[in-house]
Amino acid sequence: MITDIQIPRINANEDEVLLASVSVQLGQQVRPGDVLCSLESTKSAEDLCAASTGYVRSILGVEGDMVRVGASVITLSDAADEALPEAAPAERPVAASRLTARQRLEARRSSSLPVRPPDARPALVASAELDWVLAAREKMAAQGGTWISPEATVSPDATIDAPHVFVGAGARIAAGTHIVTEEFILGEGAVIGGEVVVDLAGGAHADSRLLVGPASLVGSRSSINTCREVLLEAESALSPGSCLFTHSFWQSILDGYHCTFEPIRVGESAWVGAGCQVLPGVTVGAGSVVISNSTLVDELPPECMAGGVPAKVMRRGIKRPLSPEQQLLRLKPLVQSMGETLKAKGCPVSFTLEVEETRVIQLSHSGQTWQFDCAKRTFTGDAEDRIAHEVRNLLRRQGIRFRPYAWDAGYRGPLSDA
Amino acid sequence: MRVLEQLNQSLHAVMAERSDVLFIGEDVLDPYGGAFKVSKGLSTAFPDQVITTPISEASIVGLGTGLALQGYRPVVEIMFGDFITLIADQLVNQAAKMTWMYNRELAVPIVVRTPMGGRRGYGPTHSQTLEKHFLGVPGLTVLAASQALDAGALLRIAIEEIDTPVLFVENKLLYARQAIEPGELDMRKSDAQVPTLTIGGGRPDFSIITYGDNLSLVLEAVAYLHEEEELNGEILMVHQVSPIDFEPLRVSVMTTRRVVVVEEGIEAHGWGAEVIAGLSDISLEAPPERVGARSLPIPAARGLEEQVLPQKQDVIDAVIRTVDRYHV
Repeated sequence: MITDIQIPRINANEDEVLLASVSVQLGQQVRPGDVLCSLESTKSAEDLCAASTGYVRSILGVEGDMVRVGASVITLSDAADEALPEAAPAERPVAASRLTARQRLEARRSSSLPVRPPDARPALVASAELDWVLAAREKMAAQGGTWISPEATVSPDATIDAPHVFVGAGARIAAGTHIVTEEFILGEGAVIGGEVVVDLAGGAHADSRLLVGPASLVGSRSSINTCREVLLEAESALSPGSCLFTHSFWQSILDGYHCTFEPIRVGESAWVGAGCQVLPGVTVGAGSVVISNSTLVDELPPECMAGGVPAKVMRRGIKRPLSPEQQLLRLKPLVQSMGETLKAKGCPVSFTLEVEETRVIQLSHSGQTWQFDCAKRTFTGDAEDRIAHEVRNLLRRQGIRFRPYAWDAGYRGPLSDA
Repeated sequence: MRVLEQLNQSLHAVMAERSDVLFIGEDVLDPYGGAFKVSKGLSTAFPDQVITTPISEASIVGLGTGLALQGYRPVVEIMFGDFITLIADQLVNQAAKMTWMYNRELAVPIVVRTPMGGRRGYGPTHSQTLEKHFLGVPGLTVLAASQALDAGALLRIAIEEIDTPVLFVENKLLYARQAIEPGELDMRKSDAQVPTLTIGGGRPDFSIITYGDNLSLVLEAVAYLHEEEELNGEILMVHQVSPIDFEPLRVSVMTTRRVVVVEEGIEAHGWGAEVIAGLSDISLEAPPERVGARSLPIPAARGLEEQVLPQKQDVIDAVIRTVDRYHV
């Protein structure tokens, strides 16, 4: 057996001690208790002794050396001719496949891998596979390229210049809005406010299109550039004065400048605040909120609040799943206050408005009934009735929208003219 | 120059300039010059300004507080930081409260200096980092010396410019360390009276917030991460440990969004938790990380002591977790 004799720590404060003397020679046989060498710290002297019989095979140090605590000083072997172990290779092996932390970081940033673990965030559905896009394209194909629902409202002052146009039932386009693109789909009940400009600056492309999902909003005076696809998913909103760019170019790419043409996507129920700038390639995650006047430069995760220039995530998890009981607790006072609002507006008939345990709001008056099923988001009853329409609008103002979608922001008349 | 010499020379200079600066402590007279030699030569040069005392930490600080009320600027030495539990009443209940209780008409410019920290095998009652128990005391400023900022200049700020009590912490390993020369590292100073230093150039990937002698192991960890993991780090060297000036910390963390806080005291209920709480409105890329001592008394055996006190590898592992971990 080979025994390695190491320098012990003889003073807590000293990492090096003096090798005061070496008492043995190479090859010499030693017995238990024989002094091998003597050490000195600033406070004490100590002998290192052999613990068992053996032969001195190496001596690493001479008298007067300062030796580090833990260093080998003498090697003993049981037999005089026992083979000594070879010195360990100096270089440690490097695993070829090892990625540095920076490489892992870059890989996550540059790939389409989500920043979170893959299972935490569902993959986005391509725009061409969304139900409402599929249905709109089918209708356009059947109608030879353009379909504007008779139940849609397009201001006579608005213009749409596109080879493929679909405007769904209940959709509205307000005055002074001008739309130039290759394909324009405005889903059911979606609204484009006044003086909105949709353009093709940056040049038309096979992917130039504006797809506005059901019950979504493009606020007035917004500006949307569609040299690539702009997709606003169902029930999403751009507040007034938003500015969306699908291109950014000016200086020469041969001088090393960046030039980008990228689509923009605003997820379902996401809300981009007034005056925001949205740069090419941005995805706003479903259910997120961006505070006004922010500049969006990067992907935002779902259900977060973000803001600033450039926009950063400020809070996560802003959407909370509520149990049916918790939802009912929120609906009850809402239904009561809606009843009071209807009366204040001069509702001409006596009515009942109640919410059931199943989260269905029942409205009845003049022998008729209407149901607003808040669990299934469906509405049954005569959609033309002025009072039912008003209830639907009051619910919409709490973010609870029903198909068929109602949008009556312009109606200011009293209920007596129902 | 070593940090010990910076402190010693600064005391010589300030006591030569001002007769109202007194030095009080146990075993501080020449030729011994104090357990760690910070007071070397003072009793010879200024015999009327150095008071050697019996072994009673509470009465030394009480004496210092009384002298401060009389218009002196006393510097009290507590031989080992572990003994500051004995001065808690004098400092927390008396000295720190007086200015406020007497309508800000009194100044209490006392500086209590003490060596803290382990890694010398001094065992459970001479190795601790106990300043955490004095953080967040209204009216008490806690400063910590480091290699990065002239420790003598920092001590002078404590003696001459702060009119309320100061606990001045010197990690005992610092004494033998060389002060970092200007230009040796890329350093930027905040403009606070007691500055926080930002160390590190280039676009950083992570921020390490720390103080005192933790800098030595943090520098090694940052160098390793740069070479082996290609990550750039920014070190925020805090010198005013309490109350904390968050502004320079925020500037860095808002950029990196990855933060590791390193302290030698016990991690649980520690300074790092307070730092992280103060930054909690910043949306981070990964959960913040704390590195500190385990919740155990410090063993005398060096090998065991290493397992209790934070090591370079703990800092490296914490930084890598901020790269590989996600928020849930």
